[in-house]
Amino acid sequence: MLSYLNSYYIQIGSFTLINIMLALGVYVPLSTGQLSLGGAGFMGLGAYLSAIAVTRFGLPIPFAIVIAGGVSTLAGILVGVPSLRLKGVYLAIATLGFGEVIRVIFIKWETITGGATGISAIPLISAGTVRFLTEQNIIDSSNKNVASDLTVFLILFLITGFFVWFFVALKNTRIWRANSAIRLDETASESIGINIHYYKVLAFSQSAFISAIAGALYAHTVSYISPSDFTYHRAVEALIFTVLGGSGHVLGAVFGATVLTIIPEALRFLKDYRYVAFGAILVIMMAFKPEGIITDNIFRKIRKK
Amino acid sequence: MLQLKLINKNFGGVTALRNISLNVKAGEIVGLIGPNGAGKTTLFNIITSITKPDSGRILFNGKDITGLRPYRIAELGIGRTFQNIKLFGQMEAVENVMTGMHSVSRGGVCRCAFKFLGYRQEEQLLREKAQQLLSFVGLSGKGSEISESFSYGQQRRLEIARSLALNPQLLLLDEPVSGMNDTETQDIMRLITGIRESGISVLLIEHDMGLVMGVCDSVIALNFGHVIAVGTPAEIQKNPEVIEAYLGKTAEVVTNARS
Repeated sequence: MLSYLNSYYIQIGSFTLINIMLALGVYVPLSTGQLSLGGAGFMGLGAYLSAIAVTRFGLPIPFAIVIAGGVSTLAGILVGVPSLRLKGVYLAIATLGFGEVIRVIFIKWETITGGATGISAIPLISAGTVRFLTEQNIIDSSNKNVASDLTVFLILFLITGFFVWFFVALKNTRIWRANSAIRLDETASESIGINIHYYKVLAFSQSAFISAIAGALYAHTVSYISPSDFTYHRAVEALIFTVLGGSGHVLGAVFGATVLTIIPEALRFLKDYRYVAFGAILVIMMAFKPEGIITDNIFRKIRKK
Repeated sequence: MLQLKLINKNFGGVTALRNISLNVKAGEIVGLIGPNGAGKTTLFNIITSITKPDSGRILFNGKDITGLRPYRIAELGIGRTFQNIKLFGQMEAVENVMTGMHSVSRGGVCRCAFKFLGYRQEEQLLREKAQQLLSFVGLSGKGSEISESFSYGQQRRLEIARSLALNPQLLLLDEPVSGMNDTETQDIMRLITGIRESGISVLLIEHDMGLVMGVCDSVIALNFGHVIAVGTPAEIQKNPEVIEAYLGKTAEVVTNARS
């Protein structure tokens, strides 16, 4: 049965899930009105921390991913606190700067990070499962790769699914009302007793955590990472997912990441022109629906019907 | 309950407030009047710590609250509204009020996501309380409307409901009836008296003398950052300095002609 599945499609699915996590990493600070482009930096941090923990120190993968997430969250708090003074584009530039600093550290600190060549032969998250399935003679060498890809996909699906569920569950709660209030009017928020510093740093560290987990999972999905995987391009991409999908709703980020990961693949028949078409789609969508595809209004209408 | 002691504030070289001292007693409605630019809103911003005073102290229930972060001031029980209404426009009316209950509700990220420890019941309670506040300010049945779509007067009422949501002991109202017609003003007057009856003291800025004279127990008049007069509405009305501040030196003729 496994032989009917195409590795290529499964991998696109896996990348979609990683992109959804990155989009959530933009969505959460944006829900408090903070435009953070630090996603690529935190993603890289998570990827390198987990890869180094596994390849150098032989830690089990799940443990390494949790450590990567935890350390990056602390880094998120450290970046988030001074960023409280910054707003809008200034914050965006500062966080972009943070990402570049992180990337340069990856390049320069060769003894640990392998420099520009990066780290290769990172064990896949599916490694344990595949070994178990082979021992049990459930799979053999003919469908081992597909089984591995599928396992990766399922693990990513569960983790991404949890994150999405988590933020959907937070919608319409005290925490999320505070976040929205801060986005809509900081002065008014403070005047009704909302500690805006706390919620901004909280959102920032949540974003760092998700981005780092996405990065760690990325490392254990592609098994090879280098500094060029975590350039500002990736941060901007995540921003596009979120804004285009609809930054006012969690499912906007999910939708944006899904559609915009699949479109470039679907446009492969255009060969070199596919990014021209992709760019045109972005421009058209922004021109006609600047608030994004998924908005609160859609859900209000559905509820009323 | 609220005491200001020798508050000074300069913006650049301009004196906004000089040696302001005033008192608001529990259960009182105090009016703050004065021409535009007299420093009334600056004073509100200083009480709620949005602006820090250059010198002077602010005491609330005997506690020094000078320099606390604005959200702490709100938590301690001072609610406020803004001259240029600051609602959360894209939220529903009831959500605006529920957001105002931030400091009187509890729950961190995990409790909100996983909904344990009776979170749902508490949320339901907040919603009911928010609806009650909406009907208290005369917006019953409008809870699920987006606050942006409200008329000007309704927005003012909603903002009052939101500031009441944090269970304040003292409410600061910045021009609650500006731009309203007579009937609307009458309604807001009744609302303000109602607020006092529920045990909340009120300090309000207003240009509408009908309202000030109608509801205030005492009035403080400011001009050029100074307190120029304190007294009952009747006293203030006759105070020559206040009349001069509002109407200029020859105003007596006009007031006499009117009365």
